[in-house]
Amino acid sequence: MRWLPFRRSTPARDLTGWTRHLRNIGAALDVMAPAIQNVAVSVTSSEARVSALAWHEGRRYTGWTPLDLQLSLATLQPPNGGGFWAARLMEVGLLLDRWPGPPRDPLVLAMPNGTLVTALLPAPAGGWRLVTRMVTDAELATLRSGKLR
Amino acid sequence: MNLFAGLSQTDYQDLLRAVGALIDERGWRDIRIWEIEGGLAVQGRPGADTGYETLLLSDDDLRALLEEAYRRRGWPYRQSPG
Repeated sequence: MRWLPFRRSTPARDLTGWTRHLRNIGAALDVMAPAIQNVAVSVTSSEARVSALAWHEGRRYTGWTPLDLQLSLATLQPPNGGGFWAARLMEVGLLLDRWPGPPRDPLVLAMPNGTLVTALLPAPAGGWRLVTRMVTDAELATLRSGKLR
Repeated sequence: MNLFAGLSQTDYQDLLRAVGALIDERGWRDIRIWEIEGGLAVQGRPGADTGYETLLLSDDDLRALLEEAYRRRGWPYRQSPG
């Protein structure tokens, strides 16, 4: 009998840094409503504030309704399955984790033509400087597949 | 945003008033404003059943907004030395 080495299939919880934090924030969003759009995520040291529009179906009102969340990064869980926002925000996390720094206090703003990402990076002269980058959906997808440096 | 670079104090009060006027003109609600590198990102919803629209206001845009607001009030505009 030949024993095969036990190999885990890169579990989501192995991610680190902003990739993990943002993926977990996205996972929390994915279970909130059947559809979510116009997501804005602002992260400070230990918590995230999320503003979005969530699809609401009710007897009195059906449509997009504002959703505001305050999430503690420490208590967020990895996704249970594949969700759109877990995947999208994980891609943004991959981008942030490639920035020199490491970056802190990022803001992620989903827009129709891409994602606006800002964060504080260490300034050469000391302190922190605000850096902003607009990334397209295609760039994020490429980043996820590991082709973008 | 570098609008206040080189100035001894900021002027967010007047800036946000001018941005608020722009938002009022558009009839936006549920607004969100962030300071980003080189300007402000402003979002708002034109109606209850619509998603957010985004305005990216550069430092030049904001300077023009402030100049216009000051001109309407007959105030001098304080330029950044930088």
